[in-house]
Amino acid sequence: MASKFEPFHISLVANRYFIHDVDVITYIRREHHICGVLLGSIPQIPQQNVFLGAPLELMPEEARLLFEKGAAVVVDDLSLHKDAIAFLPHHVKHDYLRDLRDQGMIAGRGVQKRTEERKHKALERLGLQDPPTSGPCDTTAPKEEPLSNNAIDSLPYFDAPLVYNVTPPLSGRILPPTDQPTELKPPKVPFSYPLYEFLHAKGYFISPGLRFGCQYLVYPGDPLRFHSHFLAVGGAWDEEMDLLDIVGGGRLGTGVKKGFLIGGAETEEQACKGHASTPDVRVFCVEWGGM
Amino acid sequence: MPSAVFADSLPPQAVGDQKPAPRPPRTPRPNYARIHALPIPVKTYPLPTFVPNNPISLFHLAYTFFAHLLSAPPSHPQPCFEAYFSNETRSVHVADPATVRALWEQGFFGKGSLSRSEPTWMDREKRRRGLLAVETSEEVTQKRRAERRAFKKERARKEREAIEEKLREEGKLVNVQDGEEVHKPDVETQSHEGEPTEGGAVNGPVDALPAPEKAGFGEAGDAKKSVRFSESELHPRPLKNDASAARPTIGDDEPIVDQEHLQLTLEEALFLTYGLGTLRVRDEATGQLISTSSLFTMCRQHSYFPPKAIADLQPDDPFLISYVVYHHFRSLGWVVRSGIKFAVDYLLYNRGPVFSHAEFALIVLPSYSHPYWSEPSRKSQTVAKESKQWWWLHCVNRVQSQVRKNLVLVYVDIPPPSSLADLSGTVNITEALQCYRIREFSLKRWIPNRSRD
Amino acid sequence: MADADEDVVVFSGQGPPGEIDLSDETQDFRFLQNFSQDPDQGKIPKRGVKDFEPHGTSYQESVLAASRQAMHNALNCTRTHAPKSHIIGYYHPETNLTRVSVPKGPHFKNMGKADRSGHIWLLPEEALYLIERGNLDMRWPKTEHDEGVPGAEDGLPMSLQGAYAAIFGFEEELGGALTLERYLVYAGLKRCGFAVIRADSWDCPGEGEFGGGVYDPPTDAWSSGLLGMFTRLFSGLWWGKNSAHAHWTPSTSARKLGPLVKPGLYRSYNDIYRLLSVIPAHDPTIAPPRPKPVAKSDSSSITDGEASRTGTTDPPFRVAYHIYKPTPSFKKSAPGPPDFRIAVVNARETTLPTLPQIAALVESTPYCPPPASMHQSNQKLRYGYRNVVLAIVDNGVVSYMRIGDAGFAQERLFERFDAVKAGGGGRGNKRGGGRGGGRGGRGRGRGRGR
Repeated sequence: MASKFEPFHISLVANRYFIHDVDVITYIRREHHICGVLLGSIPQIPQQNVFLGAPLELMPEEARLLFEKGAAVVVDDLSLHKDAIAFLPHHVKHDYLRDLRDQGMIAGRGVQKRTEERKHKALERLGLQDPPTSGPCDTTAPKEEPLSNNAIDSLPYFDAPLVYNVTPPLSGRILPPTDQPTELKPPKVPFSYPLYEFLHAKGYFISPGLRFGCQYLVYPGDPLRFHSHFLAVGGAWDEEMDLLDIVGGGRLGTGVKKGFLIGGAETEEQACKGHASTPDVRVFCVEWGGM
Repeated sequence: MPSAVFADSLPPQAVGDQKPAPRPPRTPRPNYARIHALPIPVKTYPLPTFVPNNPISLFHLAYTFFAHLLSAPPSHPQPCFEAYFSNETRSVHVADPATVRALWEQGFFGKGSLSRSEPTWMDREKRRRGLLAVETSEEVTQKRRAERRAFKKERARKEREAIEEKLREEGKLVNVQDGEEVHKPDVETQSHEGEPTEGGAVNGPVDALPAPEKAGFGEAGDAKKSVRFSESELHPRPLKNDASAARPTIGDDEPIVDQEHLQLTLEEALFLTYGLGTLRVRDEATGQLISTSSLFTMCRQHSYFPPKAIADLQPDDPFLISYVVYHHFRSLGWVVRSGIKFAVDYLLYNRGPVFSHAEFALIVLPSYSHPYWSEPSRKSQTVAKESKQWWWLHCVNRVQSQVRKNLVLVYVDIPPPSSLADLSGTVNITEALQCYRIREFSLKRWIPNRSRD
Repeated sequence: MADADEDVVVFSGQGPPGEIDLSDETQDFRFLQNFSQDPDQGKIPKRGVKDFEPHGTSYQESVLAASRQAMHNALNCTRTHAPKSHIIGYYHPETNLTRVSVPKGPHFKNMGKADRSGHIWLLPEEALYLIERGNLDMRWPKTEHDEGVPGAEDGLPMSLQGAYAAIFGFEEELGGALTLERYLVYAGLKRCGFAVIRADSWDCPGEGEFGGGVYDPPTDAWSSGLLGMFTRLFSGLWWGKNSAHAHWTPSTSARKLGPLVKPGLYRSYNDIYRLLSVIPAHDPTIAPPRPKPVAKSDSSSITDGEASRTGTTDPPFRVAYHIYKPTPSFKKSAPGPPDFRIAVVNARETTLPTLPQIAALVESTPYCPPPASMHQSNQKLRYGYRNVVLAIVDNGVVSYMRIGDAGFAQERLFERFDAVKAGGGGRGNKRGGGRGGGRGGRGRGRGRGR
C-alpha cells in the first residue's frame, strides 16, 4: 500500500529500535496497528509518568514485522549522525540553522502574543481598558484605547522580538540520504515471534505484557480506547509447561476479565504431517473454571 | 436509559462490582480455638508455675511432677496413627474416621478426598438427606457462585441493550441488509471450549458490520475479537451433593458409609512419620509396615512420573526440594498447605485455614551453586531449571496481590550427590536434609509514586 | 471456614488501592491536563472509561479519532529555549559527558558535577533527561566549519534523535554501563520527583556493606527470668531416657531415621520444636563474611554447600542508582544515605537471579532490620533485614519489585503455643496470631467474599 510515509526509518541504536518522527508514530498506529512504547518526557507536563512522548521504542517483533512488510528500513543512527556531522555540506547546514531560527522566532512571537493577551485581560479586570474588539485569537495586535499615565508606566518594555533557541525532534535534513539503507539485517526476534505475527495478522494491537504477568497484552482495538482481551504467552511446540503456570495464568486472566492465551508454532515435522507448507500457529485460551 | 448513560463510552464494566444480595443469617460458628487447641498431634504437659508467695503452688508443682514420674502421660497418639501408601495417587490415605479428625484438627494435615480441604463429605451427605442443618463451606461457595452468575448475566444483557440502542440511533442496525440483525451474539448461546479466535460461524454477525479500523486488511477484517465465557461455566452441571438440587434418591434411608478418606501429601506423610513420629504408613496391597527409610525413598521415587528407580534418584528430586521447604516451615510453627489454587508451591497460615487467610505464598526455587553442578554436562540442565522468566514472576505476584497474599521466594541450595551418598543401605535422613540450605526473600511490588513521602 | 473465600476469584481488577499505578494502562491523551499537577497519594485524576471492544458505532470511532489526535498534538511539541533560561550543553563524544555553559535553574541542585576548573559536567542520563524536558540546548562538538556560522557558534544544535543516537551509541562504543533500560529508570524516577545518583556499584562489583559479627543476638525465648528457671530446673533434673530436654546432637544413630520427636514427656512446645529444627536456614542477623577478592574470571571459589560468598555482584544484579525522596535539604555534595537502592535488569535478556546473584545483590545493601516499633511477625517478615528495589524493564515498560531478605527462622511461631497454653487457651496473642481476624472481617468464618 503506497503511502507517503513508507518506507520510513527505524533507528537502531545500541540494539534498540526507535521511531522519532511523530507523524510516523501516529501513522503506524493507525495503519499498521503497531503502538510501541513511548519513552520521552513531554515538555508541557514533564513531572509525571502516565503520559510520555517521543521517541517510540519498538519491540524487536514490531521492527521485524515492519521490516518484512517493506514498510520500514532499519538504519544505524549513530553512523548516520557521525557521517552527517563530519561531512555536512555548507548549504545543508545553513538551511538547517535557518529552519531552527525561523522556528525560534515563531516561538518567540507566540510567547510575546500570549504575554500581551494576558496583560490585556489583567488590565480589563482592573477596568483600565475596554475589551478589545477583535477576538482573542486574532493574529494582528489588538487596538488599544488610550491608557492612563500610571498604567503606561507599568507596562513592560518591548524592543526587538525575542528569539528562542530550538531543539528539533528530528535530525531530518542534515542526515545523509539513505537510498541504500545502512542496516539490512532483519531484527532478531524471540521465538515467540510466530505467535506475535499470528495475532497481529488477525488485527490485534499488541504491547509488552510484563506488568500484567504475560509476554504480550493483546487488544481488540487501539489501547487508547480499549481494554486488552488476552494475556498472551508464547512457547515452543514441544516445550514442557509447568501445570502450575497454567493455573496461575488462568486465575490471573479470569480475575481481570481477560483470557490467558498460550500459543506457538508447530514444528516443521508437525506441519508436514498436516500437509501444510508452513507451520501453523495454534493458540489456546485458559480460564479459571470455579468462579 | 441508554443515552443518559453515555458519558464517554458505553456502560463501564466492573468499576467496582455490585455486591450480591445479603445472605440469610448463618448457624453459629464452632469454637475453633477449642477444636484446634493442639498445633500438632503431640501433647505437652507443662508443670504448673511456681508462685513464691503461694505455698500451695509448690505443692501443686511437686504433686504433678511426681505423678508424671510414676506414670508419664502420653505425648503421642495411642495407638499411633495409621495410613496406607497409595501408588496410583502418589499420596498417603487415612481411612479411620478418628484419625482423620485428629490429623485435621491437630495441625490441619491432609485434605478430604471429596472435599475442598476439611473432610466434610459426611456432613454434606447428611445435609442432603435432611439430617443435618449445618452448612458446609462447599455449599456456601456454591451459593455464592450461583448469585454471581446471575448477576453477570444481567449485566451483560444490559450492556448489550445499550450498544444495540446506540447502533439503532446511528442507523446501523438494519434487519434487511445482512440477513440478520447485527448485534453481539447472546452470551448464553456461546460455546467456546478451546479457541475463541478461530472458527467460523460463531461470530458471524460481528463480521458483517463494517469495521473502519480494519480497512485495508483483507483477511484481518474477519477478525473475531470477542472474548466469551465458555458455556460450561455459565451453566455448570450442579454438584452431586448440591443441597439446593436435592431430591431423595434410592438408598437414602440406609445408614451412610463414609466414602471419603483423608489424603496426605508425601511431604505431610514423611513429616508425621519421620519428624513427629505420630504416623505409621503401610503398604496398600500387603498391609506391611513401611519403614521410615523406605518411605523416604519411595517418596523420592514417586516424585517423578513414572516413578524412578532407586539408582536414578538425584539430590534435586522434586520431593527432596519440596520436603526440605515443608519441614523447615512446619518446624517454625507455621501451618503449611498446598498452594496450587494460587499457582504457588505452598501457603503459610499463622494458625490455620479456619482462623484466617494464608498470609504468605511460597515459590520454591532450586539453586545449584555448588561447583559440582556447574560442570558443562550438567550446566545446561540446571540452567534450564533455574531460568524463570520475569513475566512469570509478575504473573504469580499479581495473582497473590488479587488475593492479598505476600509472595516469598524460597531458594533451596542443592548439595552434590556425594553428600547424599550411602543411601543404598542405611539411609541417614537427617544428615541428608542437613546438606540443604534455605533462604527466603519477600517480594512486593514497589510503586514510585507511593513511595515518595 | 475463614479461607472459603479463597476459591472465589476476585474481580477487583487492580488489587488493593495502594497498589494502583496509572501508568499500567495506556491512558487517553484527552485527559492530559488533569495530570498536570502532581497527583496526590490518594486522588486519582479523572480519566474516562474504556470500552470492551469495537462495536462499529460511529460514536466510538469519533472518540477514538479524537483521542488519537490528542495524542498526536501532545507529542508534536517543539522544544524551545527562552533566552532567559537558555542553557547550552557542549557534548563530548569521547567521554559521553556534557559540559554546561551556565548551570542556572533548579535542576542543577540535584545534577551535575564540577571539575577542577569549576565547569559543570552532566552525566549522559542527566543530559538526555534535561534535553527531553526542554531545559538543555545540546550542541555537537564545534568543528572548524562552524566558525563564523550564525547559529553554530557553540556547535551545531542537536536534535532529540541525535541525542539518543549519540548518548546510547557512544556509550556502547565506550563500553559504558548506561543502557537504555537504566536510563528509562533514571528518567522515570526523576519525573516522580526523586533525586537520582549513580551508586558505587554502577559499573563494578562495589564495596558492599559487610560488617562483622552478629548484629542483634536473637533473644532466646527461654530466658524468661528466675521463675522460669525454677520450673525448668524441675523439668531438667531427674529425667528419664526419653528426655526431650537433651540437647540435640547431630547424627546420633537414633536420629538417622527419626522420629525426631520420640514419644516421651514434653513440658513445652519449645522442646519439641527444637528437635524438629534440622534444615539449615539463612540467618540474616549474622553478617555475611567479607568477600574474598576474586578475579572476575574465577568462578569456582564457592565454599562447599554455601551460597556464593564471593560478593561479586553480577552486572545486571547490581545496585545502579541511589534515590532520595524529594526534600528541600538535599545536597548533591553530601546526599547522605539513600532512601532506596535500585538495580536495573532487562526482562528480555535476563531471567530470575540465581541464589548467589540475589544474595550478593541484597548483601551489597546495608543491614536494615525491622524497626523496633514493628511487633507483628508477619510485618517483620515482609520488611526483611536488608532490602533492594529491582527495576525490571521490558521494552520500555518498567516494573519495580522490592526484595527483602526475609529471615523466617527469626520468627519462631511455635513460641506462642506455650504462651497460649499458659494463658488458659486464649485466642492467640499478638505476636503470632495478630493477623488472625484482622482483615476487615474476612477472617470471621464463612465470609461474603470480596
